[in-house]
Amino acid sequence: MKSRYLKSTLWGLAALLALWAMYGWWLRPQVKAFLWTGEENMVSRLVAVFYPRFAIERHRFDASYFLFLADQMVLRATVMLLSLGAWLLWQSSRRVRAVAVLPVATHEYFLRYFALVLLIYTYDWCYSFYKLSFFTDFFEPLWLIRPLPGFSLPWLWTLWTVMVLAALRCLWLGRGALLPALLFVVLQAYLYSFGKMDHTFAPFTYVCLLMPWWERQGRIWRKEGRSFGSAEVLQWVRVAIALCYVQAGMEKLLLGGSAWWNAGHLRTFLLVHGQAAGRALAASPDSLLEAASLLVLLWQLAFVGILHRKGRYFFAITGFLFHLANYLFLGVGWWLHTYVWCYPFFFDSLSVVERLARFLKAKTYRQKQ
Amino acid sequence: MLYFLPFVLMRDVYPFFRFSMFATPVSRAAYTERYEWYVRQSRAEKWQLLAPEVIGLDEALFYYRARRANITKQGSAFLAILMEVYRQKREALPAASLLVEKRFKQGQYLDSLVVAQWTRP
Repeated sequence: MKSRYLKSTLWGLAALLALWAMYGWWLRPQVKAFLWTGEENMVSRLVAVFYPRFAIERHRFDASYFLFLADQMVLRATVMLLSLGAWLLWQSSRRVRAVAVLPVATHEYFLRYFALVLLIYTYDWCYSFYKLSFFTDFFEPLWLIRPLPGFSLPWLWTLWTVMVLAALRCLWLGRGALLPALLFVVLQAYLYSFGKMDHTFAPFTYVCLLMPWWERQGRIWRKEGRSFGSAEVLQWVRVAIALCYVQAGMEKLLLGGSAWWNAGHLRTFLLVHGQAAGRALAASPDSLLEAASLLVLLWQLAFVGILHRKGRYFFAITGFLFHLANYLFLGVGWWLHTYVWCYPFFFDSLSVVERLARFLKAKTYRQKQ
Repeated sequence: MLYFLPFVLMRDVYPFFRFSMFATPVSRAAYTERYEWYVRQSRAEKWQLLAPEVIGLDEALFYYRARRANITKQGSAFLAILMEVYRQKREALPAASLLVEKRFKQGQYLDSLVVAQWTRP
């Protein structure tokens, strides 16, 4: 076993060395030539396809910043490959895979909660599409919806209606979440095909992307008549939501480093966003702004602690406060942020939703009687 | 691995997202800007700041499109689209309209520039 680990580790390190050598000797000189002399080469063609915003961003940053970004991509690929390798090694060393088991009824309540959140998020999307219909000059479809019809209200309102009806069905039955999840991803793509992509529903989108596996599990359990099922997909959902915060922290650390918690950084954003509370906070001493920035960075990096039973309440409450502060000082999001709606996925019991479902069912039963 | 693709490539690959909100330190940028839209009902009146929501345009989308239009020298075309929607949604067109860029550096206000202007035909 030990020799196998050694062999895998050596192969992994060799692959990383090859990656760094290829970048350093072959690709990096091309990046430099493109940035400093505007040379037409492979990098310029890649940038035109994958980073069209460069045409805008080059006016705000000097060439050395873009070289730093190119280096970052290789560094990040290295970090990800190392993490993946460590995770695979850890998985193979575990003799018994300990995954929590939950009653199938609890899984159904999670799906009901999913449908409820989807309805809360999207109840006004038909109006959002109507508002955007005045700005079709800006419409630039994302790759996912290019094969689909363009922006037209009858088409989008039909999809929205199907999604809402399917979500209502899921809310009632506790299954059938796949269709509303897929339509949510498609309709969101239409909303974000106007140049600006928001992260308002990012964690929930990851829940949607994992829904095919969750649905498949449920179908198997129902077929086999089981009353308990593995919470593996639910665990993936939780990891995906938690990593949204960790990635935000990692970005700050990797891109900004110590410059990120410089008081001038936060002060600029507070002034640019123009909120009354934000302008007042911008007048605070440097030490306070630096402490606040550092605290946010550490909190985001530590957010993975919400996966631990003991850390759930702490991170859920501080998460709510974090988004509330963003809303008050920067005008970002809403006081009850869309990300906060995803926190109940971290708790095994959705007792409020369970009680509501029981109450509705009991009421229907009484009416039938 | 797909989940981490935006993190490695440092850009959104819908439906996978990159979480870089406010990550780039402002000290690296030449400046940080904000865009504002002003209208004037008549020559005698003062310029009035107009929220893009008045014509149903989300503020974040307005900011992004305004910035893009400014850098690509399409400010006038962008303002013309805004005024056309304004005409469709409201009864009377204002006499004139302005798109203004306000610049900040390290938490200090630098200056304001008129990106584009429009006058009622």
